[in-house]
Amino acid sequence: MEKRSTSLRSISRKERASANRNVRFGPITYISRDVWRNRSRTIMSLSSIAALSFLFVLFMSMDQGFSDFFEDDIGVPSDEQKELYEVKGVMENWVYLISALCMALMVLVVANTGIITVLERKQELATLRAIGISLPKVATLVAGSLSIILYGGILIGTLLGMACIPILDRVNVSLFSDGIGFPFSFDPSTIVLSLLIGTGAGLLGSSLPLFILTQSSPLEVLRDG
Amino acid sequence: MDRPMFNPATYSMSHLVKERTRSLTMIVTISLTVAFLLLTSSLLFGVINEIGTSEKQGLLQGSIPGSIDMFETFQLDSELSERARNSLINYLMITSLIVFLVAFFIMYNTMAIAVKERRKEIGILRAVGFSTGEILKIFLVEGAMIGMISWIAALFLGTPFIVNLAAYLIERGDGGIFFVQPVIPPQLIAISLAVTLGLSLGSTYMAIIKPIRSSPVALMRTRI
Amino acid sequence: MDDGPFIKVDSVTKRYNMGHSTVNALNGMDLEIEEGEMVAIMGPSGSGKTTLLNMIGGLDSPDSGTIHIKGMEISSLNEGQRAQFRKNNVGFIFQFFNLIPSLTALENVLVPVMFDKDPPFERGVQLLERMGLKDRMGHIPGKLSGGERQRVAIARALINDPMLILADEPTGNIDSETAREIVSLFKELNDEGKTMLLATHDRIVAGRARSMIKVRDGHVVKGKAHSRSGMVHLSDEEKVKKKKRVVKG
Repeated sequence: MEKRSTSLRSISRKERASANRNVRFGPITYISRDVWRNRSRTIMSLSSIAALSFLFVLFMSMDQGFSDFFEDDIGVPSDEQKELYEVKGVMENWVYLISALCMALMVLVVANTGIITVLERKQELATLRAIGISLPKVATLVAGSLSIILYGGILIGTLLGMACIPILDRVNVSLFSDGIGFPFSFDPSTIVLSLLIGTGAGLLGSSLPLFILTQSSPLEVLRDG
Repeated sequence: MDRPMFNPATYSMSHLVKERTRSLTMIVTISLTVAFLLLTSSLLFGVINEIGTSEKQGLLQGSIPGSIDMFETFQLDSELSERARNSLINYLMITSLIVFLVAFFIMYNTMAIAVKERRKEIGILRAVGFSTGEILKIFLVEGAMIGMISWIAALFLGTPFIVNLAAYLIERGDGGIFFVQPVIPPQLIAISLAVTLGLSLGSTYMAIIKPIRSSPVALMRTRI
Repeated sequence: MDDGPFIKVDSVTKRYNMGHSTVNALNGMDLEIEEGEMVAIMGPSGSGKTTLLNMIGGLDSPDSGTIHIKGMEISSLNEGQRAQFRKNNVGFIFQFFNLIPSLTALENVLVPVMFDKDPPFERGVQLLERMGLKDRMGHIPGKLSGGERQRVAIARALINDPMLILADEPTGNIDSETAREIVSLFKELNDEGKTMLLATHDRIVAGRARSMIKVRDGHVVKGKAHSRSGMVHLSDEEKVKKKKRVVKG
């Protein structure tokens, strides 16, 4: 069994190598090369987005945890329930606040990464236009690199959040002041929500860099420095 | 005719004005972060304050127009909620630390591109005889300026905004009578200034230190 | 098709704003170039050679005047149409090569056609083989020499089989030995029927072109030996050498 799986893998690797030689160069290759070339920054942008979507998932699950916690119980409330009930009321509001903050920062990260991409590669993008690639297509290339960072980050952050939920559930976090454990529970709709928020942030954040791109001229090719 | 002012500060200032969009991005990022950090830590200080004395005092009280009236409507009467609230504040503190890291990245990124675009300029400065230290100073002055502006913005615009927003959100909540009144003691103001400067100067230093050490010739050569 | 000249530049002007002053890059430029020509455009820096090439290549649009290429007026096209025009009809070669640093030589050649449904992959390979870069196809530009980079750029310019090739200081950044090779490559391409326009300072390059125009202050300088279009037709290289001596003397 072991042997077969390794030999299979080696065959597929060989196949991949031979396929690589015949691979047709297209926009996807271009985008992936670009993301890889600036990998240190890609990783930083990606982890920023991941951290923000992690926070989003964390607070959403906290809110969900509270709802679930009080849903099942009808009897005489325990002390823990009394304590937690006080937080429940404000929890939803904090979720809004944190979500807004996360989204604002996500917009900034996307805008920032996008502006850097457009400014740093001013000449390269102008070259593409000079040799006949139309502006919408060049914009697609830029948007493609940004999407990889954005959705990759959201994916990693959400998965990390999902992994942390069972660990954090009812665990007393007394880092800065004496507290109690909060109930956490993950609701699958959070994934959809974080994708929606991320897409919104991506659209908002990429509008400025794409605007800068449309304002630039293909004549930038000839400008030195 | 007036003698024209020219020193590292005016030099940096002219750059900040020239690159308005970039400066604004940095200022918005830092002030948002610092304001959030201020809010969460002022809540933390509120908790600490509460434990020490029954009187709730702090600089925030009355110093920011409009913000405090809302908080006065909340009575700290619940004994049970305190630990739960503290737990929430813990989570908020963790959040603000993560947000701080993200802001550091945004700052670093922005500074890195500013440096990259000005490689040639750095090369020229090096070529006409500026030392590495002097050029570093120019960029650090620029970073410090951004930091100071952001800090002032965070203190006088961001904090009341977030505090008011929080107050509004809390008031709307159904379990409402729970919250702690934020306290901003003088040491928190000092800490926030240190944190802001650390953020802006640290990211500037990290962004500039590598390119600044390359040779002037390499810096002035922009093409690949 | 059209009976007029292949390239017709008619009283084209172009001004650039440089701070408070304006620079007249082109000042009523008139020019006619026949199909299959190989023309060197010479002139001092700031004489408008580059601007002229950009106009003909559809990178820039004139303030006034018209430019016709093969009977098609390109000066009135919008940005999208001009991109299409550049893609199908013009091969650009730049002084600084302008290759994409993250892509291999072969991928750089294929960049102009990367959005096509069926990109001519084989053609890219053949072009690089022809440029003598068969074993360099997988290298990124950073690992190629100046001459090799320029040859990759030439292959890129040829991928769509354009009728017109515009080279702006193609030898400005490479040594004279390689420059000679590049120029003979240009000559080969010209023999195959491509119309070539080379803006250059380099006398070796200009001397090996079939004809030459001199540009100064945004218009074609007309001399005794010049035709109506301002072009000097050179029969052979000797003539240029003689001319050079005269200029030096």
